[in-house]
Amino acid sequence: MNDRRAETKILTGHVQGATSLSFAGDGRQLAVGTLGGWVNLWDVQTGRLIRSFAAEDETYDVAFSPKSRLLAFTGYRKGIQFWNPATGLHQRTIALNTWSTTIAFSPDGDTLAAGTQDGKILFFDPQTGRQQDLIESPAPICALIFDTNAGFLVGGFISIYAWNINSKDIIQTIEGHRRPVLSLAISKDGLQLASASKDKTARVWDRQAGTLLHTLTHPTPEPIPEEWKEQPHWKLPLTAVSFSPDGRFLATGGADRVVYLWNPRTGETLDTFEGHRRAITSLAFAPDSHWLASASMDGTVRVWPT
Amino acid sequence: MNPRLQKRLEHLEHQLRIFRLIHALSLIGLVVYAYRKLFHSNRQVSRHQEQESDSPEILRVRGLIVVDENGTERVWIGAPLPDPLMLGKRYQRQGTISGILLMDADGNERSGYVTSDEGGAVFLTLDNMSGQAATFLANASTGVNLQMWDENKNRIELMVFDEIPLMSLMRRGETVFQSPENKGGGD
Repeated sequence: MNDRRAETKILTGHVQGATSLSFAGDGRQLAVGTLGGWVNLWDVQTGRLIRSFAAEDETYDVAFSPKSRLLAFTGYRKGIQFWNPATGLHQRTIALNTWSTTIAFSPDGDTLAAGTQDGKILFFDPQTGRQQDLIESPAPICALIFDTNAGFLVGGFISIYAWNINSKDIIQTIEGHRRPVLSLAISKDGLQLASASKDKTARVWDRQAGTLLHTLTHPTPEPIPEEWKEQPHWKLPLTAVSFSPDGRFLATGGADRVVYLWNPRTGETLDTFEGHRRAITSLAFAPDSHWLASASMDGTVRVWPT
Repeated sequence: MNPRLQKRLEHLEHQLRIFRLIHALSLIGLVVYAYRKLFHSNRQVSRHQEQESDSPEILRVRGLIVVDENGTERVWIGAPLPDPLMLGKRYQRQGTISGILLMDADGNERSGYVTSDEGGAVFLTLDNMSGQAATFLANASTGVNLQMWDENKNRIELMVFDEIPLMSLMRRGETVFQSPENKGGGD
């Protein structure tokens, strides 16, 4: 346990549970989606609530645009909403025929991708709200992320797919999880892909080869019994995974309420963060990698020093 | 006039005034009574009509949600019921159902006692965090089925269909008991 643990910040008041997190580019602000109809924007250093956005919807994912000029969030009934985080003004809402539980901005900020429950990836121009393109996925999309290095979009249900952003063709399929993938992350160098699944495992993959590097579980027996790799026996689904931007850490969280910090190269457990009283739903590292935020159904967000 | 006769006449006139007063008061009382009786009766009829149309004992709603002290939805009664919430996100339900749902302290759907609009089955489900673990189902026409399983393909199934009772046990995906033996297995 590191000696900065006392600096942990607890952000409270996320009605009906905090579901999603996104740091602004400078790391000073943290957006938190909730099930209770609000998206909250916090000053991470002071722990002060800057403002609340009236989503009037359950919010499943939030995302700052790369230059933090837009804050997007997606929910059950109202589609995708865009707000100005600086002024607190609503910009536009894109209604959907279904709903999206995962959104991601392209690295240049010109596109927002939304994975939908009816198995599509929709691409929108954030400035106009106009739909730019569409990918028909073989399955519902529960997690979505842009691969900033290779021009790929990676999404998952039980299998994980990588699409070429330009051709929209599937260029890679990664198999291994037995239940839906709930979260995806790609290391900043693009070499590793991590996935957290309802099958109670997080897995680290070689991004280019698609081969399995590590299977991570809460708690991790040492060593992992060989038969457990085929028939998982450990506790509860894992919901969230995140790489630190400096590449030193991989964080995982889930329904067991504990955040695990791993060495992504070795799969070794480095630290654990305990304190949440309900399931962890989302994890995000600050851009400087010094802070890790965890959102929970207990209505709190904890910002842990790494 | 004879003073005695005069006195008696005055007495009779006094009694007559009293009788007239009593008569007038009685008439007023009768009118008031009749009015009140009629008004009360009308109010009772009105109340009865109110009870018929908007009884405090009978609520007519499309849905009812019970929340806990944290605002987390714990019980849903609805027609139809919403898509299932699991670990902070809502996922698409297969088909339309109505009935009762139970959710755990995290808001995750864990049980349902429902009817399906497609096919008309009625069923009870018990879920763990990975998904359904038990179902007890009756079809609209014929057939009833009880199943329990885990994620490692261990399964118990009891069924009656087309007048044939069936029972099977699976261990790690392989059938270890089945009666009658010619029933097709599978996960």
